[in-house]
Amino acid sequence: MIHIKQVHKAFGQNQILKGIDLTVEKGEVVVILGPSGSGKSTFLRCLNFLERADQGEISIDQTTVTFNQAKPKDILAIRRKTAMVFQQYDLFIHKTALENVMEGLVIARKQPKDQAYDTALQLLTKVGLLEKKDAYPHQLSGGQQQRVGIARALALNPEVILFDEPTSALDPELVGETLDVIKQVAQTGVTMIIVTHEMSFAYDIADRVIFMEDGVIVESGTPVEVFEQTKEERTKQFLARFSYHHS
Amino acid sequence: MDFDVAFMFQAFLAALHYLPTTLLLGFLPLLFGSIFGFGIALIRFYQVPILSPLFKWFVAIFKAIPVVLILLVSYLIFSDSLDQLAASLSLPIRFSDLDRRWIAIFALSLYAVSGLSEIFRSSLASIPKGQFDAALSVGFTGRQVLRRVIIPQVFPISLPLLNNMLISLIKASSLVSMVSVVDILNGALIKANVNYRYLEAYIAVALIYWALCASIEAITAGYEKYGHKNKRRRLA
Repeated sequence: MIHIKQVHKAFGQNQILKGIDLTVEKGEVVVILGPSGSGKSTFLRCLNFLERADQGEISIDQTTVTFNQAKPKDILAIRRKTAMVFQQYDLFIHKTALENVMEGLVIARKQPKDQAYDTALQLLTKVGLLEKKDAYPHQLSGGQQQRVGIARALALNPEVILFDEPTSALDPELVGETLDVIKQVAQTGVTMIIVTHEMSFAYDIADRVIFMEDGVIVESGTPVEVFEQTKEERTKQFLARFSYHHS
Repeated sequence: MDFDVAFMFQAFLAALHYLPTTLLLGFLPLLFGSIFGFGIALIRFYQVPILSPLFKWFVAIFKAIPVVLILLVSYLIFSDSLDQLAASLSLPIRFSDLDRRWIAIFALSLYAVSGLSEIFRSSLASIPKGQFDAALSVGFTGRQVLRRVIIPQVFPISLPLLNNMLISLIKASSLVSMVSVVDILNGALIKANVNYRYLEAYIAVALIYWALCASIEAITAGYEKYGHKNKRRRLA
């Protein structure tokens, strides 16, 4: 279980996060929606210390860390319980697909190479890219790169995977394959926090949907509550700009 | 004007005898300059307090001083204070038995370090920020990020500029006669001092410099062409 309390973050005078609280149960899929500039990505990046929050604390699986007092070893401890999938995929450009998936296991987790190799093959199979295992990122399409990115995150077997707009940089025809892989992973009980603009996907996959604006959580609930029984005016306005349908 | 081809050939052979010295004066400063230059580049890239502004000034100063002056000043400092310093540290070394080539290597390294630190700094800046994020997100320590992500990516980006630097160093090494080191240029001139056929000697040495630099260029180009798997960059 993950407890996040009172996350505050400012860039200079600009207050991006104004006290975010979130509790995520094991195996839960939380989707964060909101207009650009609402602080969704910053919030996600604060959780694994890619940005340093000014205030607040996070506790994952009995490790509790206060953001502004965290020492390098606390930061490493939290990072090693989390994994992230990036908007721009951010695969290691000098490594093959297989090496990208193995890298975290072998280097950060000190796993024996042959064991990491087996895990990596298994995960590349899972995301449907076994035949691309020796390809370098520049030889893969965006969708394929992102699926390797998902395999890289899964390999670490983290307490939670943070998805930072995983399909926003993809060509429209490549979005589907990536979302399918994420859905398939979600069904295996992996805890996820997902920032996305894909409304139908959010509706289908989320156990809980959160609408964020101006650094605060405006509304939160099940997909049915947020999408169909919307309470807040701001959420209604936001959702009205998207045409979505769910299966 | 008569041109003595036979003498040019003699001067060529005489110069060739000192090729190892010229190579040493090119490669060692490149090596030392790269080690310290990479360190300085990292310090400035990560904006380490105190050291970062200090090296900024160091680089700014040495970038603006001609190599000849660095060479001459180094020679004067060495000749002036080496004996004293060695005596106070009870080291057995004395200026009179110091191989002058080390002074030249020291001076050329000093020249190389500022240029190389700028090369590495710009290469570091060109690594996509996402590469750092990705490495940290899978739980790498700072040192692992350096070893597994930064170094393997910086080297291929820097290669064409390192190649330039090596060529500059080899050409700059022709100045070492100032501190009485015999390199290929001096070797040929010593031969020409006997019969005053300097033109032949100069052209002979020019041919060696040209061949040397052309081979370095060819080796680098070959590496870039065939060893490029590391160099390919994703265009986001």
